[in-house]
Amino acid sequence: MSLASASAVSGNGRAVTFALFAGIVCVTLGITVWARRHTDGAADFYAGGRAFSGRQNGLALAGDYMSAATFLGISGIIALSGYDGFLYSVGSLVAWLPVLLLVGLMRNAGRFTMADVLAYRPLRRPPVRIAAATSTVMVSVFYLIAQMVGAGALVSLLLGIRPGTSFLGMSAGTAKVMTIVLVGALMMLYVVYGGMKGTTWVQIVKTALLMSGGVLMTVLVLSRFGFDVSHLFGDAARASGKGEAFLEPGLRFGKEIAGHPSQTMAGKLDFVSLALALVLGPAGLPHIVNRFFTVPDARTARTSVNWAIGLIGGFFLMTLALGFGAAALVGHKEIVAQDPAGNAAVPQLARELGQHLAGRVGGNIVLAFVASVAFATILAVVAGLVMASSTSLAHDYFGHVLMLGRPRERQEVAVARFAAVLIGSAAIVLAAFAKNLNVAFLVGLAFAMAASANLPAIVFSLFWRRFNAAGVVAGIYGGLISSIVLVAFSPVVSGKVDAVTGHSLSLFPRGIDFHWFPLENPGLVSIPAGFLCAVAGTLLSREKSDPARFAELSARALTGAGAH
Amino acid sequence: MVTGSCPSPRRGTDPRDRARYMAIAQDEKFVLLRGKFGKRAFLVISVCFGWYLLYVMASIFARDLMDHRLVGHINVALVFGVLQFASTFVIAWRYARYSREVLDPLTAQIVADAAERAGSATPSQTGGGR
Repeated sequence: MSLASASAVSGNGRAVTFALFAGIVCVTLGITVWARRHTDGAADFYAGGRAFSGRQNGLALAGDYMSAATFLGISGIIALSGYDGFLYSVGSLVAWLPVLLLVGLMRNAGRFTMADVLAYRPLRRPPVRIAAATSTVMVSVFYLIAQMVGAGALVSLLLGIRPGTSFLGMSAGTAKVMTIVLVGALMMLYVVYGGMKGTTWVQIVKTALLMSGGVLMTVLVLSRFGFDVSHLFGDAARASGKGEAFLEPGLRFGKEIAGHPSQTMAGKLDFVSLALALVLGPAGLPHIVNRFFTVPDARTARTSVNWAIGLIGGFFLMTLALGFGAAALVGHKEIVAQDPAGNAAVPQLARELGQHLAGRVGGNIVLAFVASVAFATILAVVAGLVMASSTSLAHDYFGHVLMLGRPRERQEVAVARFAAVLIGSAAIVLAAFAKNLNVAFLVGLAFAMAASANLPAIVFSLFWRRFNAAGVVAGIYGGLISSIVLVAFSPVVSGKVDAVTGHSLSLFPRGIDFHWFPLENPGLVSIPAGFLCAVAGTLLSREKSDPARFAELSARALTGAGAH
Repeated sequence: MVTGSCPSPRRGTDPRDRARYMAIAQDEKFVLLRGKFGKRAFLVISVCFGWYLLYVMASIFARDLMDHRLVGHINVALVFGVLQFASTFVIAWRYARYSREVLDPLTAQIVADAAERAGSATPSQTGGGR
C-alpha cells in the first residue's frame, strides 16, 4: 500500500491515461461519423431507426443508467460506509421491474417520446405536450448539470490535477472548466451528428468497457482473498476502523443519533424517501423512456429490459467486491485523503491491484484503464441526457405545439440538432459556474421529479379511464413543483453543517439557513403529491375524457396493432 | 382542437386505424388479454414492492435481526440484499416467460383476427412496423 502521495496519477501513468482518453474520443467520434451517414429522417435521429436488437438496446439502457456516479459513487459509498452503499444499489435494481411492466405498453403506444403516450387521449393536447416537454427538459438538465460538474471533478482526479498544482500550464480551476467544456463539446457532437444511432453505439461501447473493467477488478480483488468472500468482508471491516458495524446497515442511512429521537426518525424517513424515489424514478426518466422506441417491437423492448436487469444487477454485485476491496486494500485514511466523498476509491483500488500484479507500471496501466472507463461513462451518459431533452423540445414543443403537429420531418430534426446545441451550451455554462458547488443532490432531485411528475401521468394515461388533460397537466406540474420546493427548503440546500469540521454540507455556505423540510429526499411527500394532483386535476376539471380514445389506447398499447 | 378530423402525422389518429382499435377493444379475446396482463402486472408489482419494502424496513427498523451473523462475516443483511437481487432476476425471467408463452400468442391471435375482419385492407403485424 504505497499510495502515500495524494496524487492518483503521475508521470508515465498520466501519459497512458491520456492516450487511452484520446483513444476513446477517437472511437466515439468514428462512431458518430458513421452514424451521421446512416441517419436520415426522424425515426433515425430520434429512435436510431428502430433497428436495434434486444441485446444491443439492453446494453445501451444499462449504459444510460450506470453513470460515473454509479460506478465510482456507489463503490465509494461502500468503501467508506460499508453496507449502506449496497442499500442504494438494491433499490436501483428493483426499480427495473416496474420498467419491465411498462416497457411493452410504452413501446406500442408511443412513437418517440413519453408525451406521445400522454397526448394520445386528451382532446386538448398542446398543454399536455408543453407540460411533458417541460418536465423532460428539467429532469434531464438537472441530471446533466450534476453529471458535468462531477465530470470536471472526476477527470481532474483521474489525471491527478490537484488544487495548487498546474496541468499543461493551467491552474486546477482552469483545468476543471476546460474539462467541462471538452466533455460538453463532445456530447454535443455525438448528439448533433450521431443522433440516437450514434449515442446508442457510444453507450454500447461504454457498457462493454464498464462490464469488462468491473469483471477484471472483481476477479483481481477476490483473488487477493483466495476467492473467500467472508475473508474479504472481514478484512474490510477491520481496515475500515468501524469493525462489524461496517458490514451492517446504519452507518450512512437512518443513523441512530443518541438522545435525538426526532432526528433519528427524520433520518430513517429520509432513507425511506430515497428508497421510494430510487424504485419509482427510472420508469419516468426521459432518457430511459426514449430508449424504449429504438427497437422494432414490444417483445424486443422487453428483451432489452431483461438484458439491462442482468447487466445492471451483475454490475451492482461487482460494486460490492470493488467497494469492500477498496476498504480492505486501500484503507479508509487513503481514500478520504484523496477525495472525502470516496469517488477516488475505485481508481485507487485499481492502482493497488495493478501494483500488486506487476509493480508500478502495472499499477499505472490498470489505473489508466479504469480511469478511461470512467471517462467513457461520463461522455456516454451526458450525451444520452442531451439526446432526451432535445428530442422532447423538437418533437413535443416545436413539432406538436408550435407547428400544430404538422412540421416537415426534416425541419423537426434540424430543430432537434439546434436544441441539442442550445441545451448543451446552457449546461456547459451552468456547470462551469457551479463547478465548486456541492450539486450531487441534483441527481436525487431528478429521480424524485421523474417519479413524482412523469410516473403518475404515464400510469394514469395507460390505466385510468377517466384521466384527462387537466389531470396530466396538474400531475406533472404538481410533481415538479413539490419536488423542487421541498428540496429548496431541505438541508441539502441550506443549513447542514459538518459537526466535526464546521464546514457547510449544503449548497449555500454556512450561516445561511432557510430550511424547514427535514428530509434531504423529497420523494416520500412529492410522489404522493404528484399522484394526488393528477387525480384532483382530473376530477375537478369539467373536461370529459373520451372513453373511445381510452379503449383505442389500451388496444394499441397491449396488442401493438398499428404501432410505429 | 378537434381530433380525428385534423390531418396528423400520427397514424393513430387515422379514422381507419381508430375503427380498427375500437374493434380490437371490443374483442372478447382482448378483454381476456387485458385481464391476464392486469393480474400478472399486479402480482409482479405487489410481490416486488412488498418484498423490497420489507427489506427497507428491516434495514432501518430491525437492525438487530439484520446484524445477526450467519457464517463467518456474512450476516443476515448481506444475504437479504443478495436475495433481493436474486428475486429481481427470477421475477424478470418469469414475467418474460409468461409474456412469451401466454400473452404474446394471444396478442398475435387478436391482431390476426383484426386483420381478417378488415378484409382486404392492409394486414398489420404483431408489434407493428419497422
